[in-house]
Amino acid sequence: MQAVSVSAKLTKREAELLDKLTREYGFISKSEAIRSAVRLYLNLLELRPRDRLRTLQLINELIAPSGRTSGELIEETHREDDEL
Amino acid sequence: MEPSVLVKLFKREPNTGKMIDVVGAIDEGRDWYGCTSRWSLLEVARALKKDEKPRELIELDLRELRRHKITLIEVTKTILLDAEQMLISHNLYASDAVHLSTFRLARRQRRLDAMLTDDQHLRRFEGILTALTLDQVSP
Repeated sequence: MQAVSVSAKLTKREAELLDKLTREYGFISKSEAIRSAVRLYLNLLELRPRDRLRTLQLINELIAPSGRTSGELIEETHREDDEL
Repeated sequence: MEPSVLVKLFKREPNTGKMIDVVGAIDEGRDWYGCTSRWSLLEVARALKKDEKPRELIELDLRELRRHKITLIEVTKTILLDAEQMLISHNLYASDAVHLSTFRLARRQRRLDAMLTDDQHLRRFEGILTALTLDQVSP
């Protein structure tokens, strides 16, 4: 298997989080943790469209749940536009 | 499609599953064609920001929207001039005027049946607009 090396710059907070999660999840190195994250991300983007949308919807709700409906959010956005 | 139904794709609330099916039907070209104003992407981004989604997630959501076969209609000078007239004649938000004008002008050319909306106040414009909610469609 031919491998390609990719470098990435992380913020201090991201680097600390990567360090912590690498230890907590028992990855052999930070590179291995990043490889695993990239593979998972690519798998998500390769899902069939409907499955991808369902997964993304779940991720959105888990990462930032809110009680406001899409209608309310758009209504607020419209009001802001008018106030400008 | 009006932006509130597009935001539904990234929320869990009534009819979100149906909205995913609508986009699926558009992707598969099964008697469905979907378009929205390019302006909608800005409104979706702002709504997600107001919903406190992190930056990376908003970027991913917008990339996802662009990946589907939803046609983005440019905000042209003709649309803006028509929207200006709508604003003068009716009591509505500037953004709604852009969406209504986009629909009116694209309707004949693209043979649109209706505007898919979750926005209750747009349903006041029944004479100008044929509006459908997700409750009324079966993708």
